[in-house]
Amino acid sequence: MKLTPEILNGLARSIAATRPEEIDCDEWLSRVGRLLEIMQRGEPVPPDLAPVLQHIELCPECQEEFQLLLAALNDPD
Amino acid sequence: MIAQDAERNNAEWLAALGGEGLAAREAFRDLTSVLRRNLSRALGNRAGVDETALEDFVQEALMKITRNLDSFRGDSRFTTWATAIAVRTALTTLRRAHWKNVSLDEMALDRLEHGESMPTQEQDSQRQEVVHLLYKLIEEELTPRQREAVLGSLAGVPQAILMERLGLNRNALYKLEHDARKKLRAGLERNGIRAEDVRELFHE
Repeated sequence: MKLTPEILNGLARSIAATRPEEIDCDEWLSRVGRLLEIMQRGEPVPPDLAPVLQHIELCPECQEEFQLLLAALNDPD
Repeated sequence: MIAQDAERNNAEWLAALGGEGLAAREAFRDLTSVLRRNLSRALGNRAGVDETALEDFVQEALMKITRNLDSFRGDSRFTTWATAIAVRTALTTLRRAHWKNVSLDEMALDRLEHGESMPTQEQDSQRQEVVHLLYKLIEEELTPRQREAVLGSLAGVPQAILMERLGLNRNALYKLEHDARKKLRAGLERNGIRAEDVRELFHE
C-alpha cells in the first residue's frame, strides 16, 4: 500500500493523539450521549468525559457518527 | 435546543420497552418515530438514503436497542442513547455497501510500497526524517495484522470490513490498532521525536 501525504498526515496525527489508555468504540458509544447533551446545553465538558473527546480525535468512524448525532439531535424548531 | 422525547423519562422507556402489552407497543411506536425523525435529520441528504432505507435502519436499530437495554448507563436521555445506536447501525450498513466491490487484497494493507508515493516534494527535512522513520517502524515493528489495522483505518476501510477480514470484533480491532499506534509512538520517541513534534510537523 502506498502512503500518500494525506495518509501520512492522518498517521502522524493519530500517533500524536495516542494515549496509553483509550476507550474503544463501544465504550465511546455508551458514553457519547452525555457528552452530546452537555455540549448542546453549552456547558463545559467535565474531565471524566475527556476520553470520549479524545476518541473522536482518534477514530474517523466515531468522528463521523458524532457529527451526524449533533445534526440529528439538534431541534431546528 | 435539544429535540424532546415522547414524554417519557428513562425509567419509563426501559420499563415499557422491557415489558409487554399496550405500553410496550406504544413505546415501540414512539421510539420508532423518534429514531425515524433523528435519522432523517442525520442522513436525509445522503445519496441513496430514501424512506425505505431509513425504515430498514430504524427496524435494525430497534432490534439492537431492545437487545441491549441493560447496557444503557442512564447518564443521558434514553432517546439520545438510542439515536447513537441507530446512527451507528445506519452508517455501518452504508459503509459496507460503499466498500462492497473494493478488493482489500489489491490494496495490500499488510505491506508498504515505496516509491512515488513518498512525499518527495516536501521541503521540510525534519518532516522527511519522520516520514522515513515511520516507514521503517511500520515495516519492522508492526505485525502484519497491526499493519492491516492501522493502514486500513487510515485508508478509510470501514471497521466492519476490517473486522471480518481479521476475524475480530470491534473492540479487539480497536485494541490491535491502538497497540500498533503505541508501538509507533514509542519508536518515534526512542529516536528523539516527541508526539508534540509530530503534531506540529504534520499540522495542516
